[in-house]
Amino acid sequence: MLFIFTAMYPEAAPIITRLGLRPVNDERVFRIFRSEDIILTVTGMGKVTAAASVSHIISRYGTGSDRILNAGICACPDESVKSRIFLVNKLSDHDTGRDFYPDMLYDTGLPEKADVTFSRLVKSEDMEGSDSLFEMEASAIFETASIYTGPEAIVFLKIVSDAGDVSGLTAPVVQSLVERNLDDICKVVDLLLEQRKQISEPDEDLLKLADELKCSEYMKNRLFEVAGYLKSEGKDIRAYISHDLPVRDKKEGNEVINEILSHLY
Amino acid sequence: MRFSHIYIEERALDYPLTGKILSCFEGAEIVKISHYKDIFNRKHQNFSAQEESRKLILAVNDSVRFFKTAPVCQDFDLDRSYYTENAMNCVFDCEYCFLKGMYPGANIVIFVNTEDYDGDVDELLKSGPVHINTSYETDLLALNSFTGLADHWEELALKKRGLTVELRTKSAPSRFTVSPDIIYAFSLSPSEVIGRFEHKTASLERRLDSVRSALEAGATVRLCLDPMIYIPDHKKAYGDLLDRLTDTVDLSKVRDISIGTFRISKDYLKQLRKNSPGSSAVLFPFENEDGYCVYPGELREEMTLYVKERLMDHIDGGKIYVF
Ligand code: SF4
Repeated sequence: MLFIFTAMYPEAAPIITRLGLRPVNDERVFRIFRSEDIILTVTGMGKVTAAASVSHIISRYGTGSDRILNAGICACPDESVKSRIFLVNKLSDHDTGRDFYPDMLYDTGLPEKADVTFSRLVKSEDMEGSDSLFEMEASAIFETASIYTGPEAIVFLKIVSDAGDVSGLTAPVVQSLVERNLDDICKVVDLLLEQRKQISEPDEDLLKLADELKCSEYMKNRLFEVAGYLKSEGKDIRAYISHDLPVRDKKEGNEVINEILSHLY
Repeated sequence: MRFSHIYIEERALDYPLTGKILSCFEGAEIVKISHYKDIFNRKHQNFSAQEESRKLILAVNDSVRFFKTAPVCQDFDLDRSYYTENAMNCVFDCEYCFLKGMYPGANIVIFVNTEDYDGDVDELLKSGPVHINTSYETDLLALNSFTGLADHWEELALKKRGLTVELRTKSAPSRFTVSPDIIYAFSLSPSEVIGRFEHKTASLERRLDSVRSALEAGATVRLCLDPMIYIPDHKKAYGDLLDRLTDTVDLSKVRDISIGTFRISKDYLKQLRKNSPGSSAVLFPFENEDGYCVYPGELREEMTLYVKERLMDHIDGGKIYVF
């Protein structure tokens, strides 16, 4: 599953439309929109609600092979980059002083910047002497998502909306900023959808074989180990079994496993 | 070689080695960091994903820089044998590499405070000669083109009496410093093993050419048939390797040869299997001997004896070390 998190609805609206996401009505706390393999959540502003929503959504909908994208607007003291989108390569939490690093494994072609997360609206003086991005959720999203997944699965895209003065930031302005950068956002969405980890399904036949050999837990581990090795060599474990199955008892099962082992080298 | 990102500790910024490395990767994105562990030691890292796009981390090592070599590592009967952590991780990608079982991620750390290492060497030398393995947790020669660290250790060995350095590699260097105190240790594997498991390393052909050039130049050469990896046709594979080795290299000129089958601590193997999914080199059903996963005794014996006996036709048995 790909989880997209935005703080406000105007940040989400263009993404929802472009990706054809539908509202999920049985969610009481957060506004959620989804398709078969994407869930977008509007978290609300600030670290606490961002952390709560990430935790809730991954716990409820996570598949173990999830990717996480946080997209939204931010401030930057550099006026020349206004309305541009950036891939974040470093996150700093202003309150705790802790730094976090998402893995930069995707070739997005987007410019990169560091990002600082504040617990309140950022003022111009907070940004003095810095050329980073400033916003209110990212570090909490990373820290919470990291409980569930690795740094290669978490990506941050930030669009510069202002240099510390939010007075003109109406919903239509925010929405149009996201619309202007929607192609880049969707390119990253595609990359993330491609990159979802393959989860190996437990091998049904192997489980059946373990039953047929009356395996104890220890025997089962050894059997799976041998089968894994043979598979990596392009061989099928059943080709090494001459004994009639199922065996009578654990002892006989063990003999079969030892026989397979004796043919390995 | 290319790195898309270079993470640099703030305190590492002004070291000469940092400048040298940065000049080799001008287009790289630079990210300033407080401490290398903030990125290197993150939880839940995906080693195999990172291997596809390794990042470079430049840091200052203010912790312990030299470690006494454990018996399970190779100390070649040397009383004062140490290994040093000059760099962590490797540009190559061997499926069975213990670093994949030991480190939390695949990014490469280079410690740039070389003068602190030099100072430690002076301290160690005060109590007598020392042998230092510089490539235990990396392949320093493979990193040399942009770090110059192998060159640095060679210069140090020439300058400091009593210091012997060992540079172990799966690359094929073409330039050698001739000294009894600088040991070029070439890891050799059959072509089949290199092709299947030792990705991005030099081919056997190139490694053997490099061994020959080193010996012709008069450099000190150690050969390492270690770790030997079991493959179904192992006798033929190692037999072919020995044929090619003895055909092309005058083994009497080699300082010594080490032989050993693959072995790894139980804890590292668990992580290694996760990080080398589907690799038969690490999925073999090993036996656990005192916390180390090893091939069954009979197979171990068969693999090492075969190689040892073949080598003894060409080199004095006293120069062969079995681990
Ligand atoms: S060359 Fe050595 S250090 Fe590098 S990956 Fe291979 S085994 Fe590991």
